[in-house]
Amino acid sequence: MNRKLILAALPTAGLWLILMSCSPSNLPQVTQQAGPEPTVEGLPDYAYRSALALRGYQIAVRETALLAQLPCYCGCGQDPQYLNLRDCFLDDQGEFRSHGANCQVCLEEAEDAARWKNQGLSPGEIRARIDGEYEGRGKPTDTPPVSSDTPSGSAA
Amino acid sequence: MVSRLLRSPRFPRSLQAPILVATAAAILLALRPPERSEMNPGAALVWQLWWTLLPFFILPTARLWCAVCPFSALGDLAQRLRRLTAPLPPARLRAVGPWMAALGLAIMGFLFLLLSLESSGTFTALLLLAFASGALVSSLLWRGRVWCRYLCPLGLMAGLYSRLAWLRLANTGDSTTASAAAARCCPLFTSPASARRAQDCVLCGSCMKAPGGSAIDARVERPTPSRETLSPPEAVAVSLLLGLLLADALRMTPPYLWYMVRAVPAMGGDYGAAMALGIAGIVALLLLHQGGAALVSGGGRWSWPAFGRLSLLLLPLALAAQLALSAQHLMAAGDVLRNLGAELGLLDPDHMPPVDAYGVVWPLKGLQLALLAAGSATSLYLAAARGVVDRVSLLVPALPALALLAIFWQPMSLTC
Repeated sequence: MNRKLILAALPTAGLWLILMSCSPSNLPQVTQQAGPEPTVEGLPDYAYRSALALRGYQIAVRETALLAQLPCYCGCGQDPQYLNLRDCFLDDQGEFRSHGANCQVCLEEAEDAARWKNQGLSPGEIRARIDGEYEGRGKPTDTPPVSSDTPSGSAA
Repeated sequence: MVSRLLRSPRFPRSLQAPILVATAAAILLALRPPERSEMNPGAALVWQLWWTLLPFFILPTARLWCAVCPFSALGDLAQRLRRLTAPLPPARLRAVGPWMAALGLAIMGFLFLLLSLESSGTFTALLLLAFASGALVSSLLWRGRVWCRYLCPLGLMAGLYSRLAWLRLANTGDSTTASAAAARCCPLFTSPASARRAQDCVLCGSCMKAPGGSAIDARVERPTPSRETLSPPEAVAVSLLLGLLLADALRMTPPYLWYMVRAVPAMGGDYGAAMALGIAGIVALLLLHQGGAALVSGGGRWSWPAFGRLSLLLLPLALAAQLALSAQHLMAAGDVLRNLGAELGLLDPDHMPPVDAYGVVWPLKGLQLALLAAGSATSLYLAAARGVVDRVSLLVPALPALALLAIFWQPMSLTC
């Protein structure tokens, strides 16, 4: 009887153990040190909140220079720390920020930017599209205009 | 008052019409950009309001929502336009239909989690249109509300929870024959009110308005789930539902990140595959555990009644988990509705997302834990009432109850 009891309990007990091992002390940090060169492999835990968030952080790491040239329209422009779309994912020291993982607008903007870059658009063209698509959603960041509108391959 | 409403000749049509219009508007809004539900008015209305409020509505009113459901309204409309009397649903459909509904519920739950159905305007519109098409086609093919009784996944879910609901129709006691006559006009082909199963009645009031219907009355009375039984598809549906609710709740807590950080690289970077594995794992664990316990309690022989008895113990847990999750989603709905207001130009669009998505709102946490405690207590009461006393069987509701308490004890996503 005891053996049967143990066998029957095993599956849910496994789930229980996993849950218990993840105490609130393992909560994702607000920022996580990723070193001077953030890599896709070293993404913070909160980047795994959703498929869209994971793609957003992967794009932020791969296309840092492009995102730095684009304004963010989520409303973060009201905070002087946020000067462009990159700042929603990474700060100047290369540390990850959790803002992007919790913001649909930032994630969609990053995804749109990466898609348009893959279609061969230049940073200036991508910025114009972002402005057209997202204008009115929130106060944009005070991002300087794109300096040299070179083909997209040189953006990153 | 409820009886008066159900007897009214204008019920349920007078409510169906505006709800049908509202649903059509929600579909049109869902198809319009922006696509994401945080900004898409159609998807936000469906998932942040209707879906989260539905279980709170079912608990006191059973399947009353089904009476005014816009999809059944569409079917009723189609049947009024039809000239010839449609045939009764065939026996095969009556047998297979509930299995299809259970499968539909599982697929819907899976897609909901896997594709973030709730955050896509297009998927939301397609899902609503699929339900509307199902109700329309079945109404054109057969008599009555075949969709609501046998095929609708949400009807199946509402029917399961109705066993724990407070509103039902009953004979007033003086005229069983008359109420049986009234039952013949039931669009859901149910039994006379005296023998009616709560899950089959949508409280449309057809029988109450028919000759002999005065013998039937709507009553608010304590549910008696200990007298209930579950058919095989219903029993499987309860386990599937609870597994999906466990996965959905887990998705909103930090342990989900712990799992995904390890599972995504293991699955070659495929987020969807890692998530699907996790959901399927939880559902499979639950089904295997329950199936194993049913086998053990049956002395090594498979029996659906034994499996169904265990599912009945899981039912209060499933309802409690759904209510607790809905409360969490309603809490997050504030942000979504604010964004929606900004999108419609009604509010200031500036916003800042929370620095940390996970948090504890103690009044909400208290409500959720109280709901889960009530679900667990009902489960234990059912076990005692149905004579389920062996330890192997008792573990079937006990372990998911502990898992749910552990999940809801965690800080949960306030942005959903």
